[in-house]
Amino acid sequence: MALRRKFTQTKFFRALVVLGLLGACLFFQPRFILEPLRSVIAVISSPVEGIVSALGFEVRDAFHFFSSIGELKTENERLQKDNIRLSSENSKWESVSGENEELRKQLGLLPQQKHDLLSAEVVGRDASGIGNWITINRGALDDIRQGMPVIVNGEVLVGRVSEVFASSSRIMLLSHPESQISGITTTGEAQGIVRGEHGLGILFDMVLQADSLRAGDRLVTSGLGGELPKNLFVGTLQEVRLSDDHLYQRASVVPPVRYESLRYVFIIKNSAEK
Amino acid sequence: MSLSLKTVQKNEVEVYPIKTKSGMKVFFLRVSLMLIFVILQLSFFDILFPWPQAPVLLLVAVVVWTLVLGFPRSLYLTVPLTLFLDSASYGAVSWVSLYAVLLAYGTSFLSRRLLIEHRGLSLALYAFFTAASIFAYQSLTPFVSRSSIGALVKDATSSPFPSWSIVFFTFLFSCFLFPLVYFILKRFENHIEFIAQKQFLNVR
Repeated sequence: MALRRKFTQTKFFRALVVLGLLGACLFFQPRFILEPLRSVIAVISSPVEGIVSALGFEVRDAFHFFSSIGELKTENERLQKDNIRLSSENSKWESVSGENEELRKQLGLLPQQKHDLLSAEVVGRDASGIGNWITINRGALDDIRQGMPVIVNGEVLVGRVSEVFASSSRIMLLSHPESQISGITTTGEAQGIVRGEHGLGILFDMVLQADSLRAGDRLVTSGLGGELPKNLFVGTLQEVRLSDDHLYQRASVVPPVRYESLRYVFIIKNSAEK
Repeated sequence: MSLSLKTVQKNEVEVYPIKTKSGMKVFFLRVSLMLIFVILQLSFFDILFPWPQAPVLLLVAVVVWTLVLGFPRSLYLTVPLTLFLDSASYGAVSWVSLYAVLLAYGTSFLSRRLLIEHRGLSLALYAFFTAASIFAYQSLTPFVSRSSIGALVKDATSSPFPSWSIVFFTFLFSCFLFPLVYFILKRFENHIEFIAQKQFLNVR
């Protein structure tokens, strides 16, 4: 005769209980459950993450190298052309820059673009693809604080420090749904809010209809609010359209770097531009 | 002479007592393995392949643990594993924990009905099942909140479905990863079993 189990002894009941508990946690989001564990895991995993992520980057670069061999010739020709063009542009800007510095001295203005930078390596990434954050190998021990801007390639803003642990930090990328900063076009004709579009892109939103907004305009930080230095490059505008309520203009922003390929970043610890 | 030997029945909840020396060792090994999985997921696989939009390694591990240990015992590993991921990533309990428990139950349900040994063709079948369940995770995620109820409506209305090339790649990747994780975890669990039995049998 088959032995009948009580309902409370069945797998189904156990699954229901666990699902109920997790469902309640998901609904009420009691952060005190995981918050202590979070700091402990960050401290324990920090040294290992550095090694594992370096390995990941090396393997990815090797894959990328073999898959792009066919494109190398075309790429090389394009880069040579770019090199010639940029060299001529550079010589022009050098003279303008010298002139600008001289004029700033004469007018008694502070020197521009004086950032106190700290380099960091990316050691972790969001598993979901929608959350859009990265983990770096610098933390409270390196004087990193919440809200510090993170840049690459000199002046390209990629995000801000959202959480700081002892030897690592979490960076909220500009494409994060909760990321919001104040932006302005380099022409100074349009000002608005730069926010993440569900981890997939960046949107320049809340731009007044009277402002002039064109595809191809370059977008930088406005420096309003004092949290971020001004003139950090965010991206180039593409596809201008009206908001759903037709009150404002908005445009998709194409960042100059691919966030999923970031390996090294710089944290602005202090800036003369604030 | 009667030998007092504590046997471990499959599908029965048997947690090796932590108070004993080997119990502590088992606990430490399991926690270490879970942390390694979480670190590998966030710092290796997500850097190497940033597209899948799913914690592929952890979902594969959940299926394998359920096949190797049975549902009740795997539950003791599934929940901490996903909570480790949540604490290392979002900082709050997320949808992945809920899905992992459902996946473990589904795997157990399937393994009971198919009644086949986990070798050869059946391994391929389970790899296919794992890949399908990861596809289901990718499909459901845009409609389910990750971090808050407030985000539910926002995510459901505008979070996009991953492209078919990403889905296809994830499918192949999961199929490839499954046998690898299966053999690693099978050996690991055999080792754990050996450590636990060693104490009861007093092996020197």
